[in-house]
Amino acid sequence: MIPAFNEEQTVMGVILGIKKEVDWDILVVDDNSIDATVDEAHSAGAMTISLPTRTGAWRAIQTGIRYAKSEKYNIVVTMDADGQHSAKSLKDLVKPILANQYDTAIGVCTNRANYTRKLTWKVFRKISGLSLEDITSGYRAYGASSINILLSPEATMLTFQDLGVLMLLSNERQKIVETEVVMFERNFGISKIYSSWIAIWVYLTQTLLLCIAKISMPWYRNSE
Amino acid sequence: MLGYNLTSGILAVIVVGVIFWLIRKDHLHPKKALGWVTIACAIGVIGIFPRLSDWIASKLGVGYPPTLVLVISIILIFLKLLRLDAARSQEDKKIAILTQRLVVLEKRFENVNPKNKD
Repeated sequence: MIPAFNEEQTVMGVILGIKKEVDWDILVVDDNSIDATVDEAHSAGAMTISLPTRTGAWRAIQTGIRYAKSEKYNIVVTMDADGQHSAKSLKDLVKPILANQYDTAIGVCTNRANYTRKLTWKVFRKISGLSLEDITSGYRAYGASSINILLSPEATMLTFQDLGVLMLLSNERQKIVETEVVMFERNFGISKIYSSWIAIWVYLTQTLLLCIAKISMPWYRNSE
Repeated sequence: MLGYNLTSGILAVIVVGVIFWLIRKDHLHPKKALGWVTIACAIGVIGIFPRLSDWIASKLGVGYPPTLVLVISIILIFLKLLRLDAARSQEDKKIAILTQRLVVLEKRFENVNPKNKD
């Protein structure tokens, strides 16, 4: 499943890349793009869902997950539309879920992060108590029980598919595994999260706040 | 020149009048209306008898009575805004869920009925 917002330049390449590796159903969730993303996705042979208004990256992903659930899919893999994630790693990513060992698999590429990003992740790891390497990777596979959690109203309140999602999953005792995957330099466009200094600042403070507010409280859990 | 309690009294009557008019014209949900009527009454009482705040202030040990009215008003406005923001977040969430379910249904309908695609 590929969430896309104005990705006409790259979406077709991503879909063709997936088709070369696996014969899974491919769904592009178009977050109200104003370019030819949907047409490109169609001609590459993917299914498409078009949102009537722009809802943001995470909610577009949630829409795709919702569709997957309604059509009884057991695994959803999310992949960026900008060609960052290599389809060659798809099979590796779903392996731990197919084997019923884990509920969520995150595709990580340790080389891709620079020093500041690694430091930021380290801070967030410390606060959130998550022991995961790459908390922002959008290359993920979700199994059936994680899918159910990600469709809860609680999950709808999130903005990005990153730390908030992971904290929600780990608070719900999902088993999360990290799998080494191949990632490329972005072919076209820039990261939505790291587009400007103000955007970075807003993102970091928002995530930090969420991180602190959502720390799981053992005494609260026990009383449930 | 008007007496001060006439000025504040007129203001209070206008506020109370506007609130009742909004309820009458169905611009205000009855659920919300009760709270506003209470506030309207409080404005009315304080407006017509401004000396009342002096008396309450002296009981609470507040040296300068008008600040008591202002502080209470600001706290109430602050709480109301906070609640409004929380309610808006909830609504935003509901709309997002509805939108998602709608497009999922649309898609599934399209799968069954390809002709209806526009």
